[in-house]
Amino acid sequence: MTSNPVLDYCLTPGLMLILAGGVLACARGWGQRLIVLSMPVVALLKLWNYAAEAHWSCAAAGFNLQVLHVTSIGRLFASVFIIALWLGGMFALQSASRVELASAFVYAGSAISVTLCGDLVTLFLFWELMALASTLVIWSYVGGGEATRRAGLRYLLVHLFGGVVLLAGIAGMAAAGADLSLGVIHGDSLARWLVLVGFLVNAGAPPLSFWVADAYPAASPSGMVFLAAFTTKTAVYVLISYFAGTAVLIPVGLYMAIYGAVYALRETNVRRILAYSVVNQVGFMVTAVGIGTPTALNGATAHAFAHIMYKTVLLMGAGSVLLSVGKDQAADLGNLARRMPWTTACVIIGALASMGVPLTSSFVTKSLILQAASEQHLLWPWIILTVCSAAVVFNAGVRFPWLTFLQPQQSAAVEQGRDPAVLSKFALGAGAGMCVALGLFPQQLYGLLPFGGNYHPYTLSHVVAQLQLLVPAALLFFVTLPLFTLQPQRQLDTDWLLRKPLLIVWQDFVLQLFALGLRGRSLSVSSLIRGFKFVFRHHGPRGVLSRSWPTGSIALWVAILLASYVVLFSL
Amino acid sequence: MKKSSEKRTLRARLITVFALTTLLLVALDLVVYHHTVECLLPAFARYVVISLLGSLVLIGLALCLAPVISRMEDYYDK
Repeated sequence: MTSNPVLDYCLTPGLMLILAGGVLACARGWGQRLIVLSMPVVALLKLWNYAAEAHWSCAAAGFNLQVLHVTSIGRLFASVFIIALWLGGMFALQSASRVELASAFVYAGSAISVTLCGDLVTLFLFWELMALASTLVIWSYVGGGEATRRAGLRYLLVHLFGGVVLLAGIAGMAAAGADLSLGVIHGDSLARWLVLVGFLVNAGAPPLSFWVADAYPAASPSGMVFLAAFTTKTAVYVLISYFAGTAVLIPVGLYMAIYGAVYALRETNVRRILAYSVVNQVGFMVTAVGIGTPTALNGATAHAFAHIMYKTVLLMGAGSVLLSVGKDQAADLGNLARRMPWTTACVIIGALASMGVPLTSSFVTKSLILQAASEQHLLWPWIILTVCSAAVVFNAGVRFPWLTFLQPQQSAAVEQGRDPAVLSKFALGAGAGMCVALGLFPQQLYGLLPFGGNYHPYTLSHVVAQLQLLVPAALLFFVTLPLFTLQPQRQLDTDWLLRKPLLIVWQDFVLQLFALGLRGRSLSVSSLIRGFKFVFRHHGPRGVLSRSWPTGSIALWVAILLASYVVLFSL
Repeated sequence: MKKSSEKRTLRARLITVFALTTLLLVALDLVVYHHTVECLLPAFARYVVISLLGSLVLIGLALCLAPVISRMEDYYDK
């Protein structure tokens, strides 16, 4: 039996899901369910059917586009993206609109295509498709109203800015004759830095970290599940592939880890707490990429895998609460554990995984990053990452489940809390099961990592050390709980510069200047028209000076002039 | 009133449990040796110290920054 090369290589798993997204835009009912549930499975099978280093390219517009270039890192990222899409799609079937499901598939397909492509030009094409599709995921939440529309617009602007910077970098590299194919970019050229900045924008790096907590919670309950899985992790993948060992990423990642921890501490919107937690955890991965050793890169890859799994569970839990209770502010929630036992159990497993409690996923993945910092004798990065590991308690680990499910009931709205439908419950349970499975069988994950290595996370020292980090932090969380208000608050970030001073400058100066310009233009135009009318009145066909006089009238005027002359002469 | 006492009770219980567990974990350092980066911090209960001090610094930072960065939820809508 011969295989069809077109189906084998042209129709990559990413393109397959993008096409499925197109079909989903029209499908409904059983057809929609069939596509959502089956296509990710087909894509996953196809992905693992490719030989190692399989590649396929095509020529377009003078570029050799390497649409398929399978690497072990790319395959692992693509796999977890497909699993997240499958779980998120299953959860979304309960409530998501057709537009949201279709955009989510295109979004996921683009992210997967980024992880499977072999050059920067192809990457850029899917990168931008990802930005557009993810914006549609945000905008498709009708219940969000004007706030969602504006947040989506800000998200789009940030990502278009990142795209322009990335394109400038790629163009600069192409102009300099640099190699655009997959691999670490060396040198110190401006183009290389522009590409790095373009990637970092999607990772939620400073000073643009704000977009994560601004846009994600503005999406629908299921939309945020998709958003948290793909964009930032795709950025981590490209950083590993193109910028491994770039030292500047260490401080950038450490800032992100601290930023996420500090901002989540005072946040009262439970979905925004999880968004800050995304930045916090991506900070670990970015730091690992900066360290750049095989252990660090294995750690970044493994932790991205684990993070997507547990964050998907936590966000599906938060989404279930929002769908049934209609609230996402801590001041309106609490005591949902009795009304939503399945959701609570799955969220608690996800939260334990986020903290890295032994027997869960993060315990076996985050430790690789800390081990890499320790091996390189990077004292301050090691201390900061260790502190931030403990500080997960203050966001996704304890704070989120406490405020949502365990604290005393804060409002009557909680009475409506119910576990979601069967399919959504299955998605939650499967995600939680994955978190535990990764923790129980770490060698299965380690075996898939790009740089091999021999890791043994379950040593007495490591288990005790991890508990020594988490338990005192949990103690401190409950001791200091009264210091933090539950009143809804908004944390100012660098977006304040865009949304306040720059808005004032725009409205009070730039728009005023435009208005002044318009007034000046209308004044000059009206003056011109008045002048033209004056000239036309006197010199036009009916004007006094160009009128055709009748002969009798001329004779009359001649007679009057002669008579006047005679009168004047006789005086 | 009931809500407040319920909250206090649950919190108090959790604080007691975590405090006792912390002490137990510190005691475990008498028999468990950790391979970590060499630094000025004591080897005994190093992770507990890092966790408590680091968390306190982050909490302090969040509280100090509050007047600067925390605003009402509708701040941008005004």
